[in-house]
Amino acid sequence: MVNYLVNKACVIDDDKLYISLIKMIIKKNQLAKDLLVFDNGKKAYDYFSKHLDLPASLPEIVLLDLNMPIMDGWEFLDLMEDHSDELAKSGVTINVVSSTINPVEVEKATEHSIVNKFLTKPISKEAMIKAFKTP
Amino acid sequence: MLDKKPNDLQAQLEDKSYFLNEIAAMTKTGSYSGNAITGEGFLDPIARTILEIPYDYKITLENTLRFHVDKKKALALFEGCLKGIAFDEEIEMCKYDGTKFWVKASGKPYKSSTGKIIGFRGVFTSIDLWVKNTVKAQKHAHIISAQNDRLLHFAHIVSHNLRSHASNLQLTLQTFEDIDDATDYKLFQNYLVDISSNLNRTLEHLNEVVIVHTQRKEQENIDIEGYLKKTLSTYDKQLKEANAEVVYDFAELMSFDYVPSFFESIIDHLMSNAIKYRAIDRDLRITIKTKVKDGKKILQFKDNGSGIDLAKNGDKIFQMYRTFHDREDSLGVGLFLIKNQVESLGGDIKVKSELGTGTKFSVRF
Repeated sequence: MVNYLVNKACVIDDDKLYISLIKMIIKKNQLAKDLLVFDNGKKAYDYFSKHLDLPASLPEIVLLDLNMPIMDGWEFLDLMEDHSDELAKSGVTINVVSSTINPVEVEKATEHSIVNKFLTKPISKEAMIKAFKTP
Repeated sequence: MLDKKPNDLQAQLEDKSYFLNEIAAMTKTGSYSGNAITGEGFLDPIARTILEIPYDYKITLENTLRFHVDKKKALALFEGCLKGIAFDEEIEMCKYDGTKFWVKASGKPYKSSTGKIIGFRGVFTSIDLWVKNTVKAQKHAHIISAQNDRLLHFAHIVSHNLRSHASNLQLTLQTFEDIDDATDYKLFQNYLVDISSNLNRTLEHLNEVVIVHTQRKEQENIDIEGYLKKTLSTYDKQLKEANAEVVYDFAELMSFDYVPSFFESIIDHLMSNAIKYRAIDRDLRITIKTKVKDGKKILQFKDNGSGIDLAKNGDKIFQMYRTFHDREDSLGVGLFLIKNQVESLGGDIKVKSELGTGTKFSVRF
């Protein structure tokens, strides 16, 4: 039997190549048993809002991009903030992963009440493992 | 002169009225007064020169108002004087021929020996150059600040987009550090090809924006209908597919001077947007109109498409790589580009839109 670090993880990002690479890293290093992928904040929010009462359907760790079409990471965070209690109860940890180097954005992400950590792209294999180990 | 006593000479050298005349002449300060009892008005020669009044034009309390842009305000100031209230204000006046200009003017009540107010008098000097320079400086400050915002936004886009390709490259190299079988190797190659083509596309987009600000902007007379017809034929197939009806009215402005490539790009992007974001449940209807308002040339481009929620996205619609529709062909480049083109020539572009009803762009050239 394989030992995964977490049961379910979630990546919200519109960069297809990045998604493929993250998938490979997660698979190779047995970081998560299941992986949810959404290519914009809207799709992710629709899923989360439908499954808030079902902790088993919610990921333990979320890697959220900021710059996305339709609904960006900021809007997603603001909408999810209203459900911070449910997120905490279900043990959902949200990490922002972005290639932005705009200090205003980095600070805003770090200080957001439901954001655990800001991770800079490119995210290394080591940083990924660390993030999955200590959600 | 020599027989004058030294004291008289000294008195002459200290004569106040001489100095006052010199000050008035040098600073171009005019004097005026009004006689409340006779209704007479007085303007000294400098005042008449400032206002460019013909030599034989007679000033009365009544016709003095013609030299004021805000007649109500001028009347209030003079009436105030007659009630004992002095003023010291910046006022917009007009010369005899109607040319408007700004002055700094003072006015004080004039009392008779019994203490009764029987008139008013004061001085005024043109501050037009100063006011106009201030307005010009403010306008420039505004343009500079807008340019700074655009530059910062652009710098962030450049860094963000270049970084995301760089980071994918790094991640790819890291992930495929130890390639052990042929399938992995093929995949690795595919990823590198993807990254390089994505990087190329981003650079092309950035280059398009840079060109807006660096290329020589030679203006030519633009036949608006001719350019529209060209765009209509470019999009003929898509317009037919959308069952589109394009109505236009360029009666108010048929042609004007502009940079041809910019105008073409503006019409082209607005058209392709209207087609791309049309409502699926109804035929596309596009209305294009030109207007001249307060001397400004305006192009209005209206569609009955799916619209955008401006309350939510208003500040982002003209930003680069911001897309609001779930479409593969939304690049988020067009509106950013035409905003840059319009603004680089001193105009602006505004949008009104309602979700489900349509969108209206107004380009002021």
